[in-house]
Amino acid sequence: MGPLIPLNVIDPSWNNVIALIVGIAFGFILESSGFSSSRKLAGVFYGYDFVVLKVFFTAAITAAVGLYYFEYLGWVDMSFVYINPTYVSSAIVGGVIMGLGFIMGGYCPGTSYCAAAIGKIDAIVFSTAMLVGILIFSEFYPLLESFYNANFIGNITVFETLGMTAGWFLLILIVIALGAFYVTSIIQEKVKKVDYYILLK
Amino acid sequence: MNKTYIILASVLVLLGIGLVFLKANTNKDELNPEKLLTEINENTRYISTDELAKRIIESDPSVQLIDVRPAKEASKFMLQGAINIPLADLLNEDSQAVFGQDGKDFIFYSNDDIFANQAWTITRRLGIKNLHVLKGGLNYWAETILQPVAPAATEPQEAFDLYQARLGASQFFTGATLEVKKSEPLEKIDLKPKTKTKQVEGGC
Repeated sequence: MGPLIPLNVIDPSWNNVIALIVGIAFGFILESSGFSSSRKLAGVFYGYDFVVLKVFFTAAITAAVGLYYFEYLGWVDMSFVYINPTYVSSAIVGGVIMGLGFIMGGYCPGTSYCAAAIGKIDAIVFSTAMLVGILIFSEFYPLLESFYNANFIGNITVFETLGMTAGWFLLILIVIALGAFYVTSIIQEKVKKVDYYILLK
Repeated sequence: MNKTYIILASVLVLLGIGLVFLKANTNKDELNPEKLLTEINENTRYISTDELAKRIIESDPSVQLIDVRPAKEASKFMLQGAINIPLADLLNEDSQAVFGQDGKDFIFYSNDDIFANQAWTITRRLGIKNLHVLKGGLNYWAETILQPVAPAATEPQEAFDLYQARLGASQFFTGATLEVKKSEPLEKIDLKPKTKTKQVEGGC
């Protein structure tokens, strides 16, 4: 039955409409969970707020577990599910740049637009700077192209690379996630609490 | 620690353990058995050697012939444009990729109908569409297309028309030349120019 668009259950021309609806829902939930605050996002780095880690890790494992149960029930054919291609060099460098930007600005790309939408000036500066970054990257693409495409290892998954089944990998990932939630909650208790409302005054 | 967290965490762990022990679902998307049975009895899957010959000659791009005989036999002779997928390899990933092509009519053939029908049943159960079987297989192909037999003089005109079409196909596939009986020379006819008769006289 699924995935719905690759198997033509839903016509591909609906792609943008669905993306718009999912995007609005995603932005709404990000904002209402407080993710439009750069302090909340930077809190993961400084150790006073781990909500971001908890939310995204929970989302990832819930979705993964759900997908594999769907596959068991024959609702989704995992061989049709898109797997992001892995370019090792650019993934590492891109990860470092993204991490630096994240901690300096206090936003990831999604949350920066979310915060810009509610009128936060730092988010407007952040998202504009991101566009400038994209422009610079695009202009220098011919120079960066060979590095950008270096060390391509295909559309691989972690569990296939490690030679285990998806079930085992997910169980281990769930245990790691729960362990991370527990450890971070201890860290959070020990680090001095930051009261956003005081900071805002 | 919050009780809700402990409950939710244990649910996640249980679901994860469940995934480890669930066997991979291998027979998904199988065709409904009643539907399969109806289709088997309908016999609409068959394509005649004459129709196939016509489509190959017209180089119909939608024809995808699949030779299901063992590779050893297939290497000796295959029909034009056919690919060899022995029955044992039918469920391989590479073979499955063949059936992913859109807008193709997949025509199975073997020496007779038997292997081709087995291949049809297996692939049809997987839910693949546009599958056909060459009626009579290669044996009937040789009998009707490669070496057609002339109909008896008492047979109806249709039989002669079919024979003519098969002779044409035979020429196409074997390169044989059509034998044409040499007719006897015609009798010479004396041609004499008409002599002009008297011009018509009179008038109005």
